[in-house]
Amino acid sequence: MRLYIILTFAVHLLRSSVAEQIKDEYHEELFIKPFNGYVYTYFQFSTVWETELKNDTFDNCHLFPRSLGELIQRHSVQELHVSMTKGLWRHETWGYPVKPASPGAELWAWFKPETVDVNENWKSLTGALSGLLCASLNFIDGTNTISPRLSLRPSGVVMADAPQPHLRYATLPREIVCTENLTPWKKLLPCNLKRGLSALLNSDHIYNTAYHSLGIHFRQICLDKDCTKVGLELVQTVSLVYDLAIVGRFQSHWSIQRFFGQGLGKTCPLAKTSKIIVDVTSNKTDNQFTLRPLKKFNFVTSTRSGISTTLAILDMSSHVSDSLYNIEVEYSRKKMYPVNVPPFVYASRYITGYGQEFGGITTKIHNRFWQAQKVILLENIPWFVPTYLHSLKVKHGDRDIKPLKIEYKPGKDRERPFYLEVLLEIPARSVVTVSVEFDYAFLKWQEYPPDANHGFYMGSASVTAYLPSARNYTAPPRDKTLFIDSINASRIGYLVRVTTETLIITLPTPDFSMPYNVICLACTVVALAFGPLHNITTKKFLVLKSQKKGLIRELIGKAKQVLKKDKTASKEETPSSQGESDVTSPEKCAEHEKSE
Amino acid sequence: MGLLTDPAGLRGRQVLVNNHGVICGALYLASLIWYCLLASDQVNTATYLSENALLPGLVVLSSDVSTDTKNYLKELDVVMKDSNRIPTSWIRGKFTQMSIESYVHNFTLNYPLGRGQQFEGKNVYGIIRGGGSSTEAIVLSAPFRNEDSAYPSTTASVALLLAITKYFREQKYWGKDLIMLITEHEQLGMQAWLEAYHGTTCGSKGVLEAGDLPARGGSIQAALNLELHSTKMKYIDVKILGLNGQLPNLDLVNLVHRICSKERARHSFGNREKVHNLPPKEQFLHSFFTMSSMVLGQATGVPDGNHGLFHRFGIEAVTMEGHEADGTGPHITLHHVGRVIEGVFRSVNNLLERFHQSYFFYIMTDTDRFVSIGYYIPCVGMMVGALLIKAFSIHVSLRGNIDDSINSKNDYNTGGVFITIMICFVIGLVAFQVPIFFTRYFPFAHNFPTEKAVLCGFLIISLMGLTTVEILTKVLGPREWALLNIATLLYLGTMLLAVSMSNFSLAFLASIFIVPMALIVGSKVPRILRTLICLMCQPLFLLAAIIAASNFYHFGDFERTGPALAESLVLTSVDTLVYGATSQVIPILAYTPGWHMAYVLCRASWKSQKPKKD
Repeated sequence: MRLYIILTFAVHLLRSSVAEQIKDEYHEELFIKPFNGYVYTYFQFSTVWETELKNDTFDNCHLFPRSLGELIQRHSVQELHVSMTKGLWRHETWGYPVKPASPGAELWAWFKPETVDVNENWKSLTGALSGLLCASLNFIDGTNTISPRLSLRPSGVVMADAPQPHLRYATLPREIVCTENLTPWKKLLPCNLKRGLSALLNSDHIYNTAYHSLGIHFRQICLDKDCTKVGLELVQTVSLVYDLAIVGRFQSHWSIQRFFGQGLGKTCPLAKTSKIIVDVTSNKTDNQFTLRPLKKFNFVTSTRSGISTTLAILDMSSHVSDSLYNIEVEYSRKKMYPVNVPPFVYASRYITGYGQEFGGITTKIHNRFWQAQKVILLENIPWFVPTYLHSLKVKHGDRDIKPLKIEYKPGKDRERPFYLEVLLEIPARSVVTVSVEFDYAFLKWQEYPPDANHGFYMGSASVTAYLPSARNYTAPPRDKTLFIDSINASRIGYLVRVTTETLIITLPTPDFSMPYNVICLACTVVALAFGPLHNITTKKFLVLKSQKKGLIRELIGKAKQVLKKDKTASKEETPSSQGESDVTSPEKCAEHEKSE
Repeated sequence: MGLLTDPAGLRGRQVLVNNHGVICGALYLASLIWYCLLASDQVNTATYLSENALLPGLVVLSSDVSTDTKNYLKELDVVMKDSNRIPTSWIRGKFTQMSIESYVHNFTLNYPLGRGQQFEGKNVYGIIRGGGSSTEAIVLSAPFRNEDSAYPSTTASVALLLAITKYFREQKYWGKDLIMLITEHEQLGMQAWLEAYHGTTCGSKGVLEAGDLPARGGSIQAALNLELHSTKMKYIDVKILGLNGQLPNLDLVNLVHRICSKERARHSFGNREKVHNLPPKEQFLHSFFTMSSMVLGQATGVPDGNHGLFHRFGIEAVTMEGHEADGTGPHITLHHVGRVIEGVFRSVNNLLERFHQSYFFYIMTDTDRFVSIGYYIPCVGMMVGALLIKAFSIHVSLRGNIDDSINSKNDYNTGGVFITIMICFVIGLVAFQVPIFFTRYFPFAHNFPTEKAVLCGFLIISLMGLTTVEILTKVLGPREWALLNIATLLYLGTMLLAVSMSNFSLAFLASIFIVPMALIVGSKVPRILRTLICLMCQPLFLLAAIIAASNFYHFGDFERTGPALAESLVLTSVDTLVYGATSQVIPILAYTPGWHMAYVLCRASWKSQKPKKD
């Protein structure tokens, strides 16, 4: 017993000493926002560590996951964004997510300016991340990586006079996200899934959603206004959108219990704050709802650039007992169909044309704002979909719009994708279509995947805009870390990145049972062709005058001929035959005929 | 190859050349007999599912939509009394209640003939978003018909579509988006929707203005079209014939039949149900008539339902038509049909790759038996073979003549033959412009009804063609006829082969008429008979004869032949301009020149024999 006390004491000492050395903190947040028949739940687990990014920073970690830290250190990464997503974020009905993510896996990283071989580091990093997250990120290579110049900017701190860091961006639209990605992801959390908000992430329930996305975002930040103190920030996110028609069987009533299969328990002891934020703005509309337990919530009105939202905040650390508790929302009426307010800028993308001759990709960008908006469209088109820049058309109705800037790098077969970035201004309250034509390339037969007829994926495009209004905008400002910091955080503009649909293209696909047939056919043709070709090349030809004969006489003549041949054959058995070579045989035949 | 290179083979050829008449006749007959044999169970095969991912009937179906359907049907009947148009707001309201996004698609048809009238239409569709990222979709469609429609009502299918949508919305297993589409103006609405979905125009530009769609659901994998005429149905007919004779993948057709069987819904193909354990002779006749009805239908190239327009876009689609049950007795209810739809959709939802495993070229001989391309293509092969052998034998005899007169002067007027052929093609090209020219630009065109103008136009062109031929015959001598004969035979043979690649039925049925004509025009058959047969194969006359025959079959008299002919001429030209159908391209651009070449031969021999007699 005494030994135990001493041991625990020692551990406590050790821990506190480490904690004194390492100034880091961990926060847990859950943001819930009900939409039109859907409920968006967003988990954010943030680790902020006051230190500089040096070559030995991650030798000693406290709350920061060391496995990830080592990757960052080894590959001289300055900023890293990974997301793995199932489903498509429906901007038109759901507004903007806190962290945008394209369907499938999306990865981009900024490497330190002094990095020697960026491509080598990128390849190695994707390989390591693939192992860390159990995802097929190792399929990222030169053939699907681009370095966008306009759309993506470092979100963290960059020294003003320092050289630009190197960017690499890639998507794997076909990547399927499931529990095998969640398990390694949760191991990066200080409390794992055992305590706190993360305990809600039970794979039985969270894959029942219309959209779910895992994200890891690492960057360098300033810890004060003058940036005298810098720090590292790691934000791990889970975005889930529940479909009430499926989860609640058309009942508009929802609760934590119903979504996650369990109630809320104790907070993670390592977390400095644990908060649940419910967006109750829609309560002002006709269909009222009651939030329970109401008393525990603290209501705050947040105004950002004139758009005010009402947030109900619950501090989980105020709940001291061991018992589980629930958060429920009950509506006054059974069904609700509030009018949908689409966000200002959103986009959709589709393939035009049919057959496998010509095709086109059309991206429709909507601007519902009362002012013209500048947006950047980023297209990452795989090499097997050769596009033509001359066919790029930007149209508003029948009117052509001249892009302000075009960045284009043509692809190369089996080497690099087509990269296209267009900066354009969309007139107020209008829809602009950006279309580009492409060919369907022929692949080599080994390049087809086992399910060749499924089609080939083309990653989603993204539209980046700097909106002057915060309507439908949820993300915290770039200079803050926590979601709670977004309250009353008005800025000049709000950066949104809208991701579009991934596309499936049916390339000309051979019938893979065909090679067998082809081999058979080719062999037959060769066999049939060989005889006549051999004859042609080895025999001499003479034109004979044909004689018309009746069928019966012909037959008799043939029979005679056969008989004669037999005789000559028997003669030829003797070694000294007449020495007639094969070449003269047609002549001989002709002579025979004449003699007849 | 040996035949061509081995000089000794020349003699073997002679057999072919001397007896080509018999051989060609034999091939023609063999082709017809082979076609009849296809109906035999010894030749055709039982259908099977090639695509394992479909797993038909493996899941437990749990939909019960009959109550919902009846409620929707009652409401729809009330709504339809107010207006003749598609009740877009009512349908959208229903979709919104199910919390499904819904959209209206507007389209305009600028009628290509006559004065250029405009027609407008609307389609309504809702999209159930599956769990995926909108890369793939399945379509369930129903045509909306108002009470004035000439076709039987489809209100039951609209109601069922809504009811099944409500059920589908609550399910969580969808991996693909489900598009629920209600179209107006029959195939026009469907074509407009498909063109808008794919951002293309299939017919002539500016005829069908398809507009744009506000939302899409990725690449469409399969489509099911519902035409239910009543809530109580005798049987469900599975219709497969598509535009230009295209067919859906056999796997989808099998899937629908199989799930119908599993759900105990009586189902048929070509309105002929499967009869089990028939005696062989009756089974043969049953198969033969089922097969022939499909061949006759496919040959027209006209889709027998809205599904037929999907095929061009690489989307496999069928129509389920529920025929009204008369009186009491056993019948299929909407519950059955709902279950069948659920089964089909869940199977297609399982698909990992698009339909590609099974046949795209086949002829159904029963609901569960089919003839694959390998078995039916010899029919056309033998027909074309007869033409080629004839051409070959003429060529050989021509060469024989050269050899005979090797020293005499040898001047062929190949230029003349070439020009004759070109003029025949020009006639075809001119005839192709008839519908638009005679209804729009011809003086006084506006005073005539479109049908009459088009019919008159084609009559005038036919007469012009016949006169041109009379002039052409004076240009050529007997030697050139042989050359022209070879060209005609080769051209017709190639044309038939090319057509058979896409539409076997059309090629086979056409060859029944064309092959004898082509064989006879250059032969020693009495010239009156020759000319008569040739004239009977004149494109316009042939069409009139076919329409008269079908009128006689359906109504027992020839009264309506004239108007029906004019109407069919107008309809085919409109189909070509709106849907990009080949129903007018093949007869006019391909067959008309060939026929004129044959007729030149006919008349030329007539002319040449006259002086001899004199």
